[in-house]
Amino acid sequence: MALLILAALIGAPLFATRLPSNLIMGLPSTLVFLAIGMPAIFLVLAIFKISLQHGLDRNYELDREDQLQRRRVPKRLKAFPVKAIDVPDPDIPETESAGMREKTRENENAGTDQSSPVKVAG
Amino acid sequence: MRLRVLNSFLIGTVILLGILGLLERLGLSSDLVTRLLFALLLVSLVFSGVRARSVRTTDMFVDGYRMTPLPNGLAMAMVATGALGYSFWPGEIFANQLSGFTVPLGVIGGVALMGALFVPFLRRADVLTPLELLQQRFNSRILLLLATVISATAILCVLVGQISFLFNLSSRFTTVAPESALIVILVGISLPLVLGGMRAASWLQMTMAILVGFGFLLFLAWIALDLTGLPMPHLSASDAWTATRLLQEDAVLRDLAQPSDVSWLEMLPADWRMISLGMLGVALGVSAFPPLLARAQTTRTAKESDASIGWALVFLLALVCTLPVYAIFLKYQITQSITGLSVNSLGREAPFLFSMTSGLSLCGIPVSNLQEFISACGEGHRLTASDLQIAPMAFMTALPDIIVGLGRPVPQTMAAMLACGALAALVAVVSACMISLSHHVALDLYAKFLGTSSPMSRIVFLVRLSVIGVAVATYWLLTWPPLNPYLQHPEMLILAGFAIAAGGLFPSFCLAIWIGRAGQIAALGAMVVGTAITIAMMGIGLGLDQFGSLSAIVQPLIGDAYPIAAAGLPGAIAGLVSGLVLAIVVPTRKPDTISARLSGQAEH
Repeated sequence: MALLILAALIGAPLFATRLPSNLIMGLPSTLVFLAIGMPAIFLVLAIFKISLQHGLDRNYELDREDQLQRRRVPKRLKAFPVKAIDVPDPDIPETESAGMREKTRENENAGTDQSSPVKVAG
Repeated sequence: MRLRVLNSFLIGTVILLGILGLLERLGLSSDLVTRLLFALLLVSLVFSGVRARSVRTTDMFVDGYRMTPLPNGLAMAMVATGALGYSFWPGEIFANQLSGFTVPLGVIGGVALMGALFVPFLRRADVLTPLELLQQRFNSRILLLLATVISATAILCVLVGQISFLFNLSSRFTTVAPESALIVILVGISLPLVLGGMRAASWLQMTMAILVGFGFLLFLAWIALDLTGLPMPHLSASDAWTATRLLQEDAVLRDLAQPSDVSWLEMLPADWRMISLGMLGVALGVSAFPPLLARAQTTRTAKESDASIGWALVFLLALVCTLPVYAIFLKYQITQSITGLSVNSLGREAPFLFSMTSGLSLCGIPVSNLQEFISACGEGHRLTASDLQIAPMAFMTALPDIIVGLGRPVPQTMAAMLACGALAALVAVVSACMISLSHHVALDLYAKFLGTSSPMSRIVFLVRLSVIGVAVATYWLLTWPPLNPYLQHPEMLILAGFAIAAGGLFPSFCLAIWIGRAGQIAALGAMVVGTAITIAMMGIGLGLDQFGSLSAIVQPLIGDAYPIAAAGLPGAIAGLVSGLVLAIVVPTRKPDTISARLSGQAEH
């Protein structure tokens, strides 16, 4: 998308010098292109970029709470190519996480071992 | 909530303007009307400070992540244009025709480029300042120091350039000395920033945007109403342009004008490189300009910061398509009134030309007295519209006087609102620059570079203190005699600021966000090379002797390109290339990456 914007910046004056000298809405075509056409091109590119990113980047709509919950499972952010690692989340205590893991394991083994202690998270 | 308050402010401004117009008709003095409108602006400043006062860290730095897209886009558009866009661009188009679109389109392209390259990723990084991203990404204090110096230089250039428009405004519309007006404005802006930091800056920029909209459009609507009977300037512009063309053709038939005078706002210069390179240079600088990047961090989510970019582009589109309308209307009125006038009868037919303070030239010499005009134009010379030139910087301040002088009645409320809008645009951009500089001092230098383990309350206190320091430094710079020649051309200062941001910061932000292999060596190299090349290009453009040999090589390549506007482009390209080469040649050391640093902290 950045390349399209740069191409618009480079190519627009060249295109404007080659426009036929006729009138659009009563004004010179070059004036209309520079005053209305070019800003509109940038606006369309920005809207296109937003819709593209909305469709391709599943992290796009995450807000802060969602980020806190998901930090236990590191994601490879498409737009930030730094290798993600498992970072302990300071907002989610280890005991709580351990309790949740214990509960999950307990639920999985519910049919086999009735004597396992039930630990309730929190 | 913010939209509701903004709506109330909008309605309040409409009501106040209506009351002032009514009072003016009933005999209220024009001086009092002007003072009341400026008082409205000061009330907005105080309101912003009181409404936005806070002690929270996130409020001081990123407005508590509370900005929604529409108000944030409005604020972004204000920061991107400021007093330059309001007071200078219409005059630039009047004076230089289609070449005057170079900087406006460069600014719009820069905002779009910023949205494509940096904005959502910066927001997602959850940093308090844009430079904190560089520090976290590359883990280098030297890089942070260099980035802070470059950013502060760029912001100072833009700040000083923007605020120097105040001198024209104060000399035209008030009787106070320019230095006193400067003190009043700096104190008025510093107070809310000390109380509320970025939160106050957001409120300031939103409320000033409403005043700018009224100021920019009301006067134009009045002119359109007077000329065509409809208060729709954009729809009447084509009729005014056509009428101007017909008048010029008639002047050519009467041997008063040259055939080249007929074509106006029709053709770009044949050397399109001038426009293209200037637009590119400005766009790269605007995209990496820290106060604009800081605006993008104040939204709730990355998607909302992208939406802010969209809204900013909408408002900038509205501004850019209004710029030529001013030029067209004034050109029509001047052509209609002045064409065919004998220079000997100017004192009788157009006495307003001699009562205006500055900015006007006739036959190439500044307006002074009649005898000098006769000498310059020639005895018995019959004037054409092309003989009258208006300096771009003086366009908006001279406009009401010219319109009244040409025999068109203009209510003082309209003229004062035009000036109030110019002042509001100045306040918006100055507040953004001042708060960014304060953040650099308090967080980037004190907390991050010096590595002091200070509590955030102390850093917040430092932000408040730095605002005062920045205001004092700005006043000192603007009243420093060696800087006076540069203050006569504020647009050059502002473009120099954008060029420094393009050469010094743009490559580093690209490497930080898009090139995973890049380490601190690559980022440092990019910054140093980019800044050096940009400074060299600016020296060539200004014709400095130290760069004479380089000039002989570079000048044939860039032709007549705006030297300052285009100076950032080669710096940005050289910086990016050198950064990429260093990223490949010098492998990234693991302890330098953010992830390795976090794992080291996690082990402890």
